[in-house]
This record gives sequence, C-alpha cells and structure tokens, in this order.
Amino acid sequence: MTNSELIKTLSLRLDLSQSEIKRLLKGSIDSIKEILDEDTGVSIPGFGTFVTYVKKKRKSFNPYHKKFMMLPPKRVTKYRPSSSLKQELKFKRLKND
Amino acid sequence: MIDKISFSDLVDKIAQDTGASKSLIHDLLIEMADVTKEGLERDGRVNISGLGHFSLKWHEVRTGRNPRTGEEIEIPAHNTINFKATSDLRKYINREYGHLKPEIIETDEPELPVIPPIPHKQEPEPEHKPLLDNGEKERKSFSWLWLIIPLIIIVLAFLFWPSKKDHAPVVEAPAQFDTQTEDVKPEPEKQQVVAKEPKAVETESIVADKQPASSEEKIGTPGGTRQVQSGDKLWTIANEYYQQAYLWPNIYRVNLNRIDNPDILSIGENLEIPPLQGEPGSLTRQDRDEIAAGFIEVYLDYKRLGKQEAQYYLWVVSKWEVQEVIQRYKNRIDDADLKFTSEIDGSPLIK
Repeated sequence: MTNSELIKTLSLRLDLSQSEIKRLLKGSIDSIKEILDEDTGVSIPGFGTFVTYVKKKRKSFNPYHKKFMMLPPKRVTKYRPSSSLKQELKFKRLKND
Repeated sequence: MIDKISFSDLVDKIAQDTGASKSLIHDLLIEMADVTKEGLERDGRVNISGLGHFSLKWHEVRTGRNPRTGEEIEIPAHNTINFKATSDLRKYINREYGHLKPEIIETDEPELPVIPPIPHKQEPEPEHKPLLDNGEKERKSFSWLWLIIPLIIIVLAFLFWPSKKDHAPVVEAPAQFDTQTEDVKPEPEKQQVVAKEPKAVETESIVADKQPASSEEKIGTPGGTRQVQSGDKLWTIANEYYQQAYLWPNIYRVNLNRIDNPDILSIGENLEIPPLQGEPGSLTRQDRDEIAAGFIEVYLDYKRLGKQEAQYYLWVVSKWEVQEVIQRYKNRIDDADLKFTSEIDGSPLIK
C-alpha cells in the first residue's frame, strides 16, 4: 500500500479532503519525530511503539578491505508492533507468497 | 528505561501542532493503524511518507530449542512485521553521530602499512641526504628507520631496474646508445601504443658538451618529420636523428600537443624533429636553451603523471647554466624540487 492509497482510504473514512488528511498526517509524523528526538517513546494503540536508542560503537570485519573496522555509535529508531497487530497478522499468508 | 508519552498526551501535542481537534487526531491515528493493518494484510507492505516502510516477512516452519530445557520444539511458520525508517527520519534521529565514519583498526600489522607510506608521499626524493640535512636527525630512531628502508629500496630499484630492463644507459658514455638501440626490439604485444622508457638521462655528457666556443663551425643537424612506427621510442628517434638518445626531450618539446605522456607514442603519429644548430657534440647556446626547455617540459609532465624521475630531469637542467630558461618556467616549477636539485652534487643516479 502506497502513501497515496493510505491517504485516500483515510479521507474516505474520516470524510475529509485528501489534502487535509495529508497535512494532518504530516503534522502528526513531525510531532512524533520531535517526541522521538527527545528520547521519548511513542506508542499508538493497535499499531505499535516507536523508540530511539543509541547503538554503541562496535568492531566489525569489512570483507572487502579485509580489515577490522570500528563502526561509530549510531542513534536509530526502532518499531515494535503492538501485540494485537502482531497476533492478527501472525498467520496471515499472503496470496502471492 | 525509556520514557514513553501517553497516547492522550501524544494526541494533545499533535492537535496543538496542527491546530486540529483532539478527537479528529485521535480518530486519524486509530484509523491510520487500522488502514496500515489492512494494507499489510493485502499487500504485505505499507509505505507511510516521512515515517517509514512497514513490511511483512514470512518465516517458514523450523525447529528450535527451548533455551531453558534444551528440548526441541517446532516453531510454526509465521509473519513478522518489519519497519524501516525513511532516510529523512534516520538522518534526523542520527544527526548527532551522523558525521562519524567507520575507522580501520590495525590489529595484526600495526607498523608496516601505516608508517612507510607517509614519508614516501611527503618526501618524494629517494635520497638520504636531504633528510639528514634538514635536521631530521632528531626524529625517534625507529621512525627514522622506517623512513630509510623504503628510501633505500627505491634508490636501488631506481638504479637497477631501468638499466636492466630497458637497456637505457644510466649515465656513462654516449657511445652506448648506438649499440643498444639496435638491441631493442619492437614489442609485439603493443599494437597501438609504444611504450618508451626515457631513462636516457645523459647528464654528465651534457654538462661536458656545452662548449659555446665550438659552435662557430655551424655544421648543424637537420630535423624533419618522422612517422611513429611500432617499437619507436622518443629516445630511439633522438638517437636516429641526433645520434644522441639523451636529447629526446628536444623532440618532445616541439610535439607537446601530439604526445600526452612522453612514455607513450601513438603509432602513425607524425612527429616533428627540430633541427639543431650545432652537432650533438658541439651544441650552440640556442640549442642548449631549447633542449633545457625540453627537459623542463618532461619534468613538468612527469610531475603531473606522478613519476619519481621528474626531479632528475630538472636536476639535469639545473647543471646547465641556463638560468633564463629556468626563470621562464619559474612559476610552474615546484620550489621544493628546485631546492632538491641544488642540494645534490654529482649525479643522483649514481650514488
């Protein structure tokens, strides 16, 4: 499902124009981004939880250069699906799979 | 432990930021979750702009082990939901560490690859002398060793490699050229380009040859044009026309626009051979100025091509009392190389 399909479906369900949905969705995501940046997790019922954490620097082997590399620390976003979503999708087999 | 914002606080914040009512935002987020679920059910993937890409990944049935009891259990086939944040979000979140790059850790051979390349690049002169003269003695003894070993190897390679491989005489007698050029066979595998090894830096004889007094004889050496054939090198052509291979930079000088790399000639190219006013053994002042200019051109090109020999061509010129030619090229000549040439007495090639 693409972003435009998502916006279209939401606009039908909430009875709002697509551009309005687009604006609100963008605003929501921007707010979520800001909250995540403050090291605060965000959870949406029925959807899941977003958190950020810092991966420590670590040693890794670069097979191309055949050298050990020290990878720098990195701050990443992690998503954990809500248990209800996980359960509902757990055994759903897609047709084209 | 990570703080978590409550859903109502999240709705409050979004409502405040967007100016929409709280109930609308609440509905929007709940519906978004629902639509995402439907999208995952239908397509297995959902893209939310600005946030990321959600996808379902199917895992086939496999046997695992209960970590507590060690008992084998069958893990049924199932889906997992994966999320990949958009690069925007990733960069935004990671901006504090974004400038950091992976670094190579030298564990096995800590000295060898690290230390030698540094002096090699900074000090292109394969000579011990300048290093000592510059007061480098104060350096720690081990790093000094690492400087010297590659330098000695380079000097040795420089001395022996060209003379063995190319039959290009290193210095000594000009007469060698006559016999040795005949020995050089055209290389059959080089169809389009002919490599030329311009090792014929005939330094000593040039210095000896510059007797302006003998220029009165005015016999002259004729020039001409010459089509490059397989096996030709600039110095074989010079030997053919001037009977002196070391004068090849003079040919190179007038063919700058036809030759990109003095080591490589294109077959079929017509080269202009400039005439000399005197004989190679009795060059006139003008001849020497022109040849000196040729040597400087070779120096500039070798410098551009990153060849080590470059400064030796400059060194040859510096021994020639052709200051006005050097002045003419002054702004294109590297000062460090000029300094290098003045620090050496005697041929740098025979050390």
